[in-house]
Amino acid sequence: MQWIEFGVFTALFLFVSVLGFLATHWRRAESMQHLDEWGLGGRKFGSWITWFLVGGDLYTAYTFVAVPALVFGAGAMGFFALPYTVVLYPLVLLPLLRMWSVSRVHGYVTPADYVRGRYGSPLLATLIAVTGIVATMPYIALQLAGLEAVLRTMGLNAGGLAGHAPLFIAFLVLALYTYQSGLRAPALIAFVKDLLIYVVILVAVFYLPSRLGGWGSIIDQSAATWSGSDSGGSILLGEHNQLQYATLALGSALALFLYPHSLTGILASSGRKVIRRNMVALPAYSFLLGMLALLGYAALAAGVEPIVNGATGEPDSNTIVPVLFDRMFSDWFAGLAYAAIGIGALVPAAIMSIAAANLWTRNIYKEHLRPGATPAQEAKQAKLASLVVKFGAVLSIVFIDPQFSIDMQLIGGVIVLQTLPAVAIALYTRWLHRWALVAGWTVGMVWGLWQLYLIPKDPATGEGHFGGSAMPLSDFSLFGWQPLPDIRTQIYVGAVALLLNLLVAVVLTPLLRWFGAAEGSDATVEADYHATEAPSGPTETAEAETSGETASR
Amino acid sequence: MTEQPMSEPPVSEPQGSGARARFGTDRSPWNLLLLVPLLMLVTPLWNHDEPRLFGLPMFYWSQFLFVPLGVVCVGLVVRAANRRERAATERAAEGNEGKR
Repeated sequence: MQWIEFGVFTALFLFVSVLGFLATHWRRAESMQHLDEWGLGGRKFGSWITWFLVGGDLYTAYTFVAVPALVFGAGAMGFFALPYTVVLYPLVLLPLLRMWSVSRVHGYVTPADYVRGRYGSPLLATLIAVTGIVATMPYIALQLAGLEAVLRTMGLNAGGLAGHAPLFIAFLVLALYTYQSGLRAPALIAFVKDLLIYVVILVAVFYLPSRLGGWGSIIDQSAATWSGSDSGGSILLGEHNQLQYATLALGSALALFLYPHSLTGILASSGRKVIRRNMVALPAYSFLLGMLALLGYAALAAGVEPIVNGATGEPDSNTIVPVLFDRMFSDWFAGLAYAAIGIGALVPAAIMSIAAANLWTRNIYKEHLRPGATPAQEAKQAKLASLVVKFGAVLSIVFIDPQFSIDMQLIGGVIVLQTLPAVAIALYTRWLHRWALVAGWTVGMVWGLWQLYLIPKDPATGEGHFGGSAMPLSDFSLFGWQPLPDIRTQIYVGAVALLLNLLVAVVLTPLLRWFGAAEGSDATVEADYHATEAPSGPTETAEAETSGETASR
Repeated sequence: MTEQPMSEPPVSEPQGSGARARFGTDRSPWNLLLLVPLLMLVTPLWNHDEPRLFGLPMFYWSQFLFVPLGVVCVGLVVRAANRRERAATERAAEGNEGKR
């Protein structure tokens, strides 16, 4: 047990918990009993808060734990996270502006609200909502894995139920203050989280290489550990994984803002200018992400061995960065770093559960279970749902246990990418027919999940399921027909599933029109997508809300 | 856009028509700059060990260079868009005063 590290970690954890509970008073609204307040922080976050909030969404335990772990295990492949966060902003800038505007005019809170308004199809909207909720769970589970890695390194590594107790307590505290304060809690805590992370990373990326003989020697040592064995990684991409690298980066970038939680951060901002400014400023985090990825090599060069998970008896590669810090830094600074990682996992977990709860409330509860719900009932329902979603995340960490925890996010990506035609393409054109979108979604989802199921957990023996997110093109098969039997090039499952989805949607659209299938009504007009503010002045959210409600009936 | 139904749902009419700001579109030739960072997805461009910079293989340092490149491209597009929006707001404000 590392008492000093544990003490520093606990003190900071308690500090942000108090902050989380107090956040309910921050920029206080007249009533928190409204989904706009609980779930979107009143829709008035400016540039700075949005920067911290969206940054807190995107750069998470994923960055700190999962990406370095992948570099540690596979080398260059793990660096895909950098192109992912670079191509992300140019890709999403224009669609996000349209999404913000149309949501502001109609009072949409979730992507499914928008689809409901755009296509007048409750079925399609429900599919989008369910997809968002399901895709979020493995992503929250990834945060849990990051938190667990830190706890384990500090010595909380018991087997069985006792092993999960610290994680459970941390999550209970998180659940309680999210319940209490809604989006204001993670927004406020994100400040502390980022401050800690910046301090830790800047120290780590300058201090560690100097201790280990510079980057050149770190990389060469890493390459040396891998040479001779073909089980390990490589410091450059090989002939079979370049397409995988590019499709992973592109697929992740396309998926990110389809996740309900990242859209929550955008919709909570106060204006188009805030979004634009953030698309320029957010890459500051990308730089850190790349630096952190390189820590995977630092851990290799330092000869770090991952800690064996007390519950499963297998080495947990997520622990390599915490172990590296433990070995290289003084106890108190390591404790600080662990707190940064832990809090860095809790902030996005809170935002994700809030976003999933919004989806549940708006698009399932209100749509199907209780159409006449008052705003107060909606807020209450969302708070309860946020608890359920966190429970679902705990389940996913039990059921999905891939070789690299980053695959949890990538599996979530395969799922959420299937909403791209109905959400993102719809922002530009309504040409795709709503039933074609439903059919495309079904094909993409079924095929994608089936492929993921087929990927073995242990590549050597071919046993197990849900082991990763990449498949060789030779495995591509349509009802047993394998068009590319000899090509070993790897590709991200999500990219192929999305292509199939689009293909089905494009082919069926003219057919459905030809048969005269009903188009459904479109509540939006082109001008909505450029609106700079809600329809009118002081009572804007209230009015936008009514219009959104009417539109979703 | 031809698929838009003829009948707008009644709700958006009364409150929407006058108050909704109509600021043209987000279209601009500047937006083409957003395609430049996508070059980063072409792996053969930089999947090399040499030349090294601060000991880092080209694979790593060149991808780091794409971060500022992306910022510059997005930044130029954003600057142009903010200008267009400001000009449109001013035009709208002048228009309103003219009416009064």
